[in-house]
Amino acid sequence: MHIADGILSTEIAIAADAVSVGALYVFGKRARTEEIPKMGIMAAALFVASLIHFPVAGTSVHLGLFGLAGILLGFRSIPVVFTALLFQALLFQHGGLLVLGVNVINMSAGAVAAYFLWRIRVVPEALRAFLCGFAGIMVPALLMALEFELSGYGRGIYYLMSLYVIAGGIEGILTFVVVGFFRKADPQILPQY
Amino acid sequence: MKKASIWILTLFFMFVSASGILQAHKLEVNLTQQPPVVMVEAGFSGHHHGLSGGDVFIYAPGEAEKAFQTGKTDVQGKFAFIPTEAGEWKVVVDDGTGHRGERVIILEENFFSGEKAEPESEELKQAQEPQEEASENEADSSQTQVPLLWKVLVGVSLLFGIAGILYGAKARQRSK
Repeated sequence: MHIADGILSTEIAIAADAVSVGALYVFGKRARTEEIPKMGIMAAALFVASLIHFPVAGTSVHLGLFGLAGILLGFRSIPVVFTALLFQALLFQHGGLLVLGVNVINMSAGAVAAYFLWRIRVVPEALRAFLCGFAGIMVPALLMALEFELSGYGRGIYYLMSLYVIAGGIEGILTFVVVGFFRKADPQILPQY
Repeated sequence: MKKASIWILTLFFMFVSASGILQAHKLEVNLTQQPPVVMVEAGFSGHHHGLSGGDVFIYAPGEAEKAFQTGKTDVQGKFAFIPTEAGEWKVVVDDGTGHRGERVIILEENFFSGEKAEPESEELKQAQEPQEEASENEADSSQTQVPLLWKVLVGVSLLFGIAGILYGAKARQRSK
């Protein structure tokens, strides 16, 4: 899921860096004081979640929690994803620093997609939670495949999406469980957008 | 909001408590000299099997753009190539899903003569061994020194610290 340096073209990487820094500024600046502890804890959870991974078909997929971040924080998840990915790149070498912007856009898109899905009230909450977790993985995976194609790697990467369907399913179940836990323990934590 | 933070914190510690399955999700490349070939082994850290079918790119000394040789790792994540000259060879392995690992190996002239230079004395032998190891591990020596748990703790502490500083700054801004 994390794209390493040297895979995508430099032009795409720099453009994405500019966009992600802009998004960090815009959505970080608008964060309310009382939201900051929640954002900090969510950033730490995202940072650690990527270390829980599963071997699938010769490669490795890991948790992201982007869907959960989107549910709990909405657009505030963008600075959270940025910070978590920056620390993952610096400390675990997950993804490159030059392509940090690309990774931030991909994974924030998953969180934002989850935020919009969470707002569809006509869908039962349990199903919404699963779909949010699933989208939190599948949207970044699809964007990554698109970027690979734009960088001249062909369309082969789309066939690897099946791996991410498995990861998305795991993430969907996890999000469903966590949302169910929050619903019972403290429903106020789940925003009603 | 305070209650919300406590619940997310609980969730976070549930992940940390799963430290038995926490592993760096990094594509590792190991190189070993087996004259006349250099053996490449690629796999994800923490996994017991190698990366099967990974794309391998071998770059000769002084050649950063055009690959000397390309290929794919076998079912065990292995690949071998025969270098043609002494110097710094770079090996890049890519799994096709965004994970990439690279490693540099410095080959001495004695690699090509088929024999290792005999150390003249025990003292010299002892001095030589760490050097060979250093040249093989040069590419990521800085990454393997710190245990993963320390990196996790450093990262989490920094994230909490940043959140604390921002919270304090915002609260002060609001009170003015």
